[in-house]
Amino acid sequence: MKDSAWTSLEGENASEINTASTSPSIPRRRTRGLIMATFVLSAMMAVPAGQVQAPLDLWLRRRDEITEGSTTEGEVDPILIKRVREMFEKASDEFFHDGISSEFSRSLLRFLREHGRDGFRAIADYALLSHAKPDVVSEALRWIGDFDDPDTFSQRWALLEQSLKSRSSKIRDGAILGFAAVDNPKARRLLQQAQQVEKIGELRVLIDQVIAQLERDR
Amino acid sequence: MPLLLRTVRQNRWFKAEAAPFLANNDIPADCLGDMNTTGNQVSVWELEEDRSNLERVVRAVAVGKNKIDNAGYIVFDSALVQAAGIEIQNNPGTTADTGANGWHRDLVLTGNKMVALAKAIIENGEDARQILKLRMKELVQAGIDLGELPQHVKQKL
Repeated sequence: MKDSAWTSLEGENASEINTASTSPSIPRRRTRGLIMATFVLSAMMAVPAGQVQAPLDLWLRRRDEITEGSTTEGEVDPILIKRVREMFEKASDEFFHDGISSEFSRSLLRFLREHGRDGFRAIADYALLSHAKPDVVSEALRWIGDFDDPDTFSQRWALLEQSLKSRSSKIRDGAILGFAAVDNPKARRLLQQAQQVEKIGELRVLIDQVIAQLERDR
Repeated sequence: MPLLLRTVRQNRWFKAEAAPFLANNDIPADCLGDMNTTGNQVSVWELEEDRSNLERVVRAVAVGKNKIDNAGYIVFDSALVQAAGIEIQNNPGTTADTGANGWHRDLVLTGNKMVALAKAIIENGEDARQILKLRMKELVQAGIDLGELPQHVKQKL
């Protein structure tokens, strides 16, 4: 997991990473932490559509009420995960350009239309626990933000929010642009928080642009 | 010297990420993907001194894509091009915005010159920026209303 682009998880488990482990490559306690993080995110993904604010708090408050979806809480259909992995790995050969659809973007949208919430959970699971290429995840976030589906709104929101904390600047870029596509003023606070810790100057400017967009007269 | 603009994907040109490469007299290879050539030429756009045509030339390129989207670009001084020994040709563009096509230029590249140009842009060009999709949609609509863009572009909005 050393190459994983997701720092938020690594940061939260930093103390565990430094402890003794029976495995030099994947410390057991760290793996547990990642599994727990995925469980939490997966649960966040199951929050009913339309509930935008504080998905984690919402999940903690309402976890007993969540019964929707074809899989149980914390589980993601292995077949969907396999399909997601194949889709993302195939896309690592593609070179993405602004404004141009790719084989990956077409596959991604088709997958999301077919599998909805379960599809989103599979994507989140794969992206968080694997070595997914930042270019591909970034491209996915742009399209996910733009995916017009009220039923998966809170899932997309949670994934974008988590992605703002990625170690990869490309993934953070995708998340910022994803929030620009969602165009919901409630993202303003999240973006401001992200801006305070953002190390890439170009991304700080980009966040300013998105915040200005969110604050415009509607 | 006039400024030139090249449309790129912004996240391939972050200066902080390029710094370790530059320290080794190298550049990130991904940047070269944004320097795709046709006939050994790469398209750039010359900006007015006050940059008043910046959004228009980025829009001109953007409307030629599959969909109206975020549009990244990078601005650099044409002196960098001359210093790299790269020829600039005043070839008109072929975009739907005929009024913008006069600002189009071609840079005649070889492999070595492409790398030298990319390195010069990362080192001495401005930070890459982008126009967000929502703003681009406004620009396209305004272009149609003003007659700068043909009506058929409207189907991309």
